[in-house]
Amino acid sequence: MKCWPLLWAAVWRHPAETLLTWLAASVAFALFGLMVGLQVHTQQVIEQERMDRLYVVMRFPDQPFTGLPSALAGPLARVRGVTGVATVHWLNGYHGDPHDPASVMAVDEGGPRGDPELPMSRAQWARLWATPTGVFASRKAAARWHLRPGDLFQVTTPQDRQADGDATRVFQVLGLIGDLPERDTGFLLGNDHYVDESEPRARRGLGNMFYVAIADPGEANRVCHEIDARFASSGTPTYCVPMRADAQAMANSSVNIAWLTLSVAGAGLFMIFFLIANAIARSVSERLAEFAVLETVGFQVGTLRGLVMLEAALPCLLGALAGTAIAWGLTRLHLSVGPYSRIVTAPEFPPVVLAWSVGFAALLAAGSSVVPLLRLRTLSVVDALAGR
Amino acid sequence: MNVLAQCLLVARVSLGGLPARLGSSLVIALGMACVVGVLVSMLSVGAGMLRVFRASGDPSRALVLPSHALDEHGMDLGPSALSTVLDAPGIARDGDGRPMADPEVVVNVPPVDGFVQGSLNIRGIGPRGLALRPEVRLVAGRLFHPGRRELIVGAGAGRVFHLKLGDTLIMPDGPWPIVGTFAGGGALQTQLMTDAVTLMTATRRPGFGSVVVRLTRPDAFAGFKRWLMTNPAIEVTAERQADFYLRQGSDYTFYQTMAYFVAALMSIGALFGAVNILHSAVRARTREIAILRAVGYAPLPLALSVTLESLLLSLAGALAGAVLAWALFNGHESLSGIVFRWSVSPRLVALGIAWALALAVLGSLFPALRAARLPVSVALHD
Repeated sequence: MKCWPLLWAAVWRHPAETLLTWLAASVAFALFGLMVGLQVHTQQVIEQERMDRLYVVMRFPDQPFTGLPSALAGPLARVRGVTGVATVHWLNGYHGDPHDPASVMAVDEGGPRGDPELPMSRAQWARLWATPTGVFASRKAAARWHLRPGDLFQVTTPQDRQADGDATRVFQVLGLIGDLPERDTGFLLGNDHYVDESEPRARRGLGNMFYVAIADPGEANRVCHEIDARFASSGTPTYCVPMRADAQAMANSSVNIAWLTLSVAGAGLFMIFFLIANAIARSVSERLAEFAVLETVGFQVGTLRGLVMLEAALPCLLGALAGTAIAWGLTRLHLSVGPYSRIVTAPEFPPVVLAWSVGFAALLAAGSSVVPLLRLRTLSVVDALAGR
Repeated sequence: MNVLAQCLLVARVSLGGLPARLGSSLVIALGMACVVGVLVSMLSVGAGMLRVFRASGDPSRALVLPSHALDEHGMDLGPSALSTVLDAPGIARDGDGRPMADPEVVVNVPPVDGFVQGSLNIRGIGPRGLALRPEVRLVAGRLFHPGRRELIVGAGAGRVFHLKLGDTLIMPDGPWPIVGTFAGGGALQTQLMTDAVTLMTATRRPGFGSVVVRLTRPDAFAGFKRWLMTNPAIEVTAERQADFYLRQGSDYTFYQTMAYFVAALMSIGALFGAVNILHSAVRARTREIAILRAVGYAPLPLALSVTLESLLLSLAGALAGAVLAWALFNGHESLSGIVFRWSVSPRLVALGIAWALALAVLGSLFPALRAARLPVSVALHD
């Protein structure tokens, strides 16, 4: 406690320079927080994907998208190890403005078993099957379009017109449900039978993919190979992939985002390390006489070292806190990071980011005070007091 | 002594004192090295993509697509639409008077060893497909024979998807061997090529996805496009090939945006750092500045000496950052829809240096003003 005035006096000797050091540290930690947040969130999304859930899609996708026939659900369910098959028809289009993309994930009765992670209660499923034009909106989707239960919601799909030629379908919001980590902007869950029946006759029963649940994650590759082999010579060859493997592959399919984000974060900290180390070294060398006096009047060398470390730690820790707060604020702006909508999503802010920032701030402080501490170690009280 | 002479003298004194302030001077240089290094490295991703897009599109080549199609993966161009397209004005003719045009189809297939590293495309080309792209050259094996289930692989696709001569790809109608390897052609190098009709038969496609045409000259494009788009018999659109590839590269926009965002944030940090260091440098030189003012030096040379110091240190840092970015990343190969190499071009280096110099001027403003306004009597007394 008796050191507090000394610490305050040391920090506040040159207020402008102290403030500038703190501001620079805050900006560096804001960048660090954003990059670590992006990386941690991406990794979390991948880890939340499961190996015991499989995607089954067309092996040779075409355009306009033909998709897999819903008749495949039966044979898929009979593959050894499969515990559930959900037929999924994605309606991809926009809501009102072509620049406002919107999708409805239309699912059949296999949903609860084929994709058990969908945050729906038994009663909600029953309501969805009973209401052909109904959709459940996830909270993020509801916030995005200001949806409440009972609202009507239009989705226009120029590539997927209805039998009467109309590209716009109108859905009724039945209720709100939880979000899925891999659907960063939320999702709308609809009724596959309604979507299918609205299609032109030639396209009914088509346009699907399947979400398949299996009992044993260790069997994922074997089940996928069996599924693909079973349909290899059919009119609709399939491509099966475990959801986690797919997520990992997507994250790896471009420039390595993990490496990129961590490099940028590292460069930011490297930049700030020299600034803080220099500021502390300068401060200590300007105050050698003061340290000599303190040692003369009975302050322990350990206490003086502690003071120097605290002086280094203060801008680092305050910078880490302020920077993390700035990064958190920036993530609230829902920054879009372009094409990686599903896997590398907008940076989120898991609490672990704050822990990382504080940890690195402590390391930075320790590293910055190494040279000044060595200088103190060789301090000759007599020489310092004599101004030599 | 005139102002210019004063400036030179003060600058000499100021720069002469740099070794005494080596640690703090290095902080400015290192800060700028980090900013420029990160900016140039990240922009080199986009620059590499852009280079591939440009290599992919000869200005005299155009692409005709169904009007609703976003890419070449469709199958809506049937025989009647094709014959209408080939009647369009502006299409170059070969020696026999046939239009230099090639209907093509692109099919997406999963890579051989699983859904790794993105998707793999097979391009089906017609008899004039290679004549339209003289930049494509066979580097190993032979060309596929039309009508046979054979493929040639682009050099980039070969490296990224680990495909080589002799490998086979499982297609709907059985295994197709890779009989050759080609290089050149920009984005095309990320694909496999085969005979269009054989590919359409194998994948049960009733029509083509696009038509590549060579125009008589690049400025014939406007008339060619107008004729196609106003023709009531067909619903197609035309694009210059280079523009098409650039539009496909949404990743390009992402990397450019991310590069500038990160660089802007780092620059703010470096700016605070530079102001801090220069501010303390002015403080350390208080007496020197006061003496110079007392013997008649104008405030301007003193202010300029601070700016010059900042500019020189930033320039050194920027050069170091750019050299580091070049040494670490230039030529690094990545896949992002296309196979490309990161490109630390002279233009990017120049941009990085300009960025650092702008920061240097901005960062030195406040300390330079402080140096110029220092009250002589107070400073001498200090």
